[in-house]
Amino acid sequence: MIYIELAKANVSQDVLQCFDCGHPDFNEFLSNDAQKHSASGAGVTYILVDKNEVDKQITTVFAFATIKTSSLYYFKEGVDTMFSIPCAELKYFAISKSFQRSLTGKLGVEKYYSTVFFEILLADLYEMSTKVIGFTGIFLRSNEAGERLYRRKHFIDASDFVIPYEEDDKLGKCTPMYLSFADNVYGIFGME
Amino acid sequence: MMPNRSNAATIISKEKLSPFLAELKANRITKEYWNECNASRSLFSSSELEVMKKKCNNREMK
Repeated sequence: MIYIELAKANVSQDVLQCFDCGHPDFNEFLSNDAQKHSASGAGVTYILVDKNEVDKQITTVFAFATIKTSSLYYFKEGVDTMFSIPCAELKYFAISKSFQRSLTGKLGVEKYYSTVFFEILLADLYEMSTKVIGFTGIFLRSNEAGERLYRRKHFIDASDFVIPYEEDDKLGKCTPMYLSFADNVYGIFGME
Repeated sequence: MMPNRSNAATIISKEKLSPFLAELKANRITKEYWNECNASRSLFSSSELEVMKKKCNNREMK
């Protein structure tokens, strides 16, 4: 399986419209808006497909992810200057309903399909961070359905640390989460 | 994840950097973590992928 850039993928509108993650807004984004977002620099969408279909016509989209660059801002104790580190923001991550809450028992270890699909994305993002555009972590705002997946992959709940957005709905149950790629987080934040 | 939040900055509150870093350190990722992620790329054989595609498309056609 491989994530390929939607704009470069040989995928029909019909196939995109068939994708169903159970969330109408996400489905609609993939089929109607993702390419426009990409073209305007607002976020690039990647679709998870069978590697053997890349050079042919893609028949199935297993999942998709939209990423954009971002920054995480912070203050050091006793200093008024604001600092930042570069990160990627995962705007959307959605998998086909057919694989949600389902386990795959490969290699004698049961794992959720969502975990497998997300691990492939993480591996790609890590490669991207070291070869394409530098960033040191991933930020996202999770809905309730995604939170357990992100925790499984070591994302921390940043609710207690991040200043809420002004327009945040306190009942919206949207959790800011962060994963650092760094071996030495203190070094990355200039706190050694 | 919420869409259309592109204009608001993500800022760690003043005085919260130390506990934030401690939490990150406690969840530090290892080489094994990346090995596991990389292994997922080739977890499914071609025949398994065919079954998965069928499963996916049958459902989506309903």
